[in-house]
Amino acid sequence: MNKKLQDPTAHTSARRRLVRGAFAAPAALTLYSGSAFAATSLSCVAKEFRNPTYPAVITDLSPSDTYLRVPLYSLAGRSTPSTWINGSDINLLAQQIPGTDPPYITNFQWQCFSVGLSNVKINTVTVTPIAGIVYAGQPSRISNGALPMQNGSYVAIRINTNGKIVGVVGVGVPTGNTSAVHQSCWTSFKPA
Amino acid sequence: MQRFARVEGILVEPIGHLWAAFSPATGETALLNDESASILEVLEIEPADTAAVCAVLSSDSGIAPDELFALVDGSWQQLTEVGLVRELPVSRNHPQ
Repeated sequence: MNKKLQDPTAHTSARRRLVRGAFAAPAALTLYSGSAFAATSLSCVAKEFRNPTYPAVITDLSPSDTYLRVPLYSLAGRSTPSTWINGSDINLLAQQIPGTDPPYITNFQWQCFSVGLSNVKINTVTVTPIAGIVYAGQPSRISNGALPMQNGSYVAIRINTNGKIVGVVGVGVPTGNTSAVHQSCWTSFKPA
Repeated sequence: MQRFARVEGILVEPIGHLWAAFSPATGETALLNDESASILEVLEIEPADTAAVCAVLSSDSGIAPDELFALVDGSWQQLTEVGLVRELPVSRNHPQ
């Protein structure tokens, strides 16, 4: 390996912030400006819950879609792929709003969104995925160890009235008041 | 092995526990976790392939390079789509 690559940079470094012994899936989420909407939104969460919404899965994450969403990942099997939610993506959103309760899923967990026709391997254990269940690690294909890849679709997250991310739209049993949330509301949200 | 470069002119700044990365290529800002930002830092020094990036991040995280490989390899699509990384054309002069 080139020795130049081993020199850490002097300024604030992401590499120095890496936790020894842990490496989550790299995550990157595009932000869209919601300032215009947020400026008129004094209690956006209250508004969201007045008319709770549960938008469908989309395949075009354009600025015209204003819901807070995370990407879906597909794990191809011999036939129908299973689809998954990456806990890193959920936590990336949650960390935008310091003070909110931790989300329902951790950085290293994955949630099955839809089942395929193949079993998967999670942390060396063979598992028959069940939609909605949160698993302890990243799923992989049994035959060749292939990992989930983004499939171009996105699902909206659900929050409760405290701003805690409690799930995604489309799986899991909602308990209490939950709703999808607009990006602008999320970026202007301040926990009590 | 396919090599990747950091897109010229991107700005990466820490924001709390996360990183904001602006790409002049897309005109958009992306929110990154430490792992994604670390990959960009490695590429800031020079373009690299997945194995080289994993070797560096292995020394930072204490995790074996082969355990990192799938995670890093799976991140290129996302980092490319948000305009932070570009795939370099394969050069005949570069050892594969």
